[in-house]
Amino acid sequence: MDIEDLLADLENNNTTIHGRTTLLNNTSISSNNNNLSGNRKSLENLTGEESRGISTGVTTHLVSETDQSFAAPNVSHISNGDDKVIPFLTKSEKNQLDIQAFMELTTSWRNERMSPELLPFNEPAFNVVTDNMKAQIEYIDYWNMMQESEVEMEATNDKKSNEQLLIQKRINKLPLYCMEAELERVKFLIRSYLRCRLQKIDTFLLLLEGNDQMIFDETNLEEKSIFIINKLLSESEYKYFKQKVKIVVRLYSNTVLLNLPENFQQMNDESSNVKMIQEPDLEKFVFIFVKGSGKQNNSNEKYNIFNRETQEEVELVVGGIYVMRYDLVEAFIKEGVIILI
Amino acid sequence: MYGDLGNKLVQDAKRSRNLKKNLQNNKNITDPAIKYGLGEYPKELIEQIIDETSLLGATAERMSELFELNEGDSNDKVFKCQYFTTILTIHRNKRCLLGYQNFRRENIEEYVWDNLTGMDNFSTEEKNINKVNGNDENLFFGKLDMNEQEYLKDYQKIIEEYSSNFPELEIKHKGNYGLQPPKDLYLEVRVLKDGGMVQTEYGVFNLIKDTQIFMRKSDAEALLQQGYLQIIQH
Repeated sequence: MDIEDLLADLENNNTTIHGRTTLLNNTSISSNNNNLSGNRKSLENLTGEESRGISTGVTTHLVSETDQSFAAPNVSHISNGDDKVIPFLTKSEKNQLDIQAFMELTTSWRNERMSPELLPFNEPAFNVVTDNMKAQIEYIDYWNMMQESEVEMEATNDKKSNEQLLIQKRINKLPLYCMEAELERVKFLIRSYLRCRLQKIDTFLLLLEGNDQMIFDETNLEEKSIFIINKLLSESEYKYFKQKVKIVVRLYSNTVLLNLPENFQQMNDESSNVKMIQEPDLEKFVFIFVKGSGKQNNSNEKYNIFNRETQEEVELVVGGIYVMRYDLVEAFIKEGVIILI
Repeated sequence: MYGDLGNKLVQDAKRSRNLKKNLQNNKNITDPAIKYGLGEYPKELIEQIIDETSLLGATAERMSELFELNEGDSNDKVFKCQYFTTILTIHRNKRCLLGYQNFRRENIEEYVWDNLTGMDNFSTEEKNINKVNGNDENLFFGKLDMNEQEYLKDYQKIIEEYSSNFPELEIKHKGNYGLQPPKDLYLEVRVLKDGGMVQTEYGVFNLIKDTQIFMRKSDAEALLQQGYLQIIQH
């Protein structure tokens, strides 16, 4: 690992000796690839869904490979772009972080899809993944342009060599296609995550409104909603939520509430027995996978859950899959020890 | 009987919902409002219920005043029961009204989300009929109350604003283009109207009506939005 980092460092600094850079690069990348594929394997094992094994790791993998064969001079294009965000990381460490962020986001997405209530927004992972995604879009555009110009320069009058060139061009495009397909998958993940959250905000709109409070944020010296401070909603989601509340309340008051007798104009009446606001069904049954806290040393971790109503105690073993009521495992899900599947 | 009208309203909502479920896969239905479970806004019925409720409200108030006047009479069980029933009916009416409005609101939201982009899998016949009937939206709007129309427009604005935070994500897409996992980079599209030559990164396409093209998703995107193309589902 040390040698690898060293090599990566060298590669970043050493721009003068061309041949050597490429050589060093090749070695560091090939060992990287091993790491990546290992990582991907573990993800697949974890989820058991090969088709969804969308991993930025694969994308980077492809990038590095194509770099080796075709575009040696812009080898560190991606890492350069990202180094601005986290400046003091070597390439392999950065890759590890990216993959981790992506996996975290995948987990958040899955949890969000399966849980009955709105879960906190996974902002750090989301930002890393979107940043990488933007860099990748730029990179693909750049690479496209490079190839176009290359072909134009090499085009001659000879018909046969032109044809060969065209074939060569097609072959060169192949890794690019893979990268784009990968990009589409990442986009889908993010899109689905955001839409799912919006849908939940819509459903529990008035419940959220009832819990909303403004709190003075000491770090930024301004008033902020409790939701943003607790990371339940992102800034833009909060804005959406507030605006939506406004128009929903207006719709209800204009059509119904204002026409009712004075004492009954509140949306949720304390005196009536029936609640008018939709609440999440926390007792819904969910499928869970016990991931463990990730610490290597205590391999036989166990979590105990006690169901008060039935007086039952359940022991959850790491690596096991269970069906359980959501409210019983809620705390563990928020800790990240248990994930929903 | 008190509450009968409210019952009617609830039944109406129930019927529309069942109708909506049954019609979901029926492509011959062209009326967008019915497709989304929205019938004519039953203004009269709602007004009747509101009238009934205000009447009840007035009664309740009078009764509580009476109650306070003859404090000693607190043993009058019949009177108490009458008061209680009145209040209960008011609550019930209110619940019916709000529930009905909520049902309509949800359907409107569904409509808004589904129609943010022109990427739906409309069948060709449907498109043609829509052209004959004029604007699709007018038909839909006609079924809405004034307040509901306002709500629809406001909601569209809010979504627009939210999605402008993530320009490259195309959050607004739906169905097999947006919310289902992407499988291919390419897709097969049918050309709906002549569009001349279109230059893309990977060659030139000639858009001739009723032909099928196998093209890249990213290239097709803009054309889909402009209504030149439609996705063919296998």
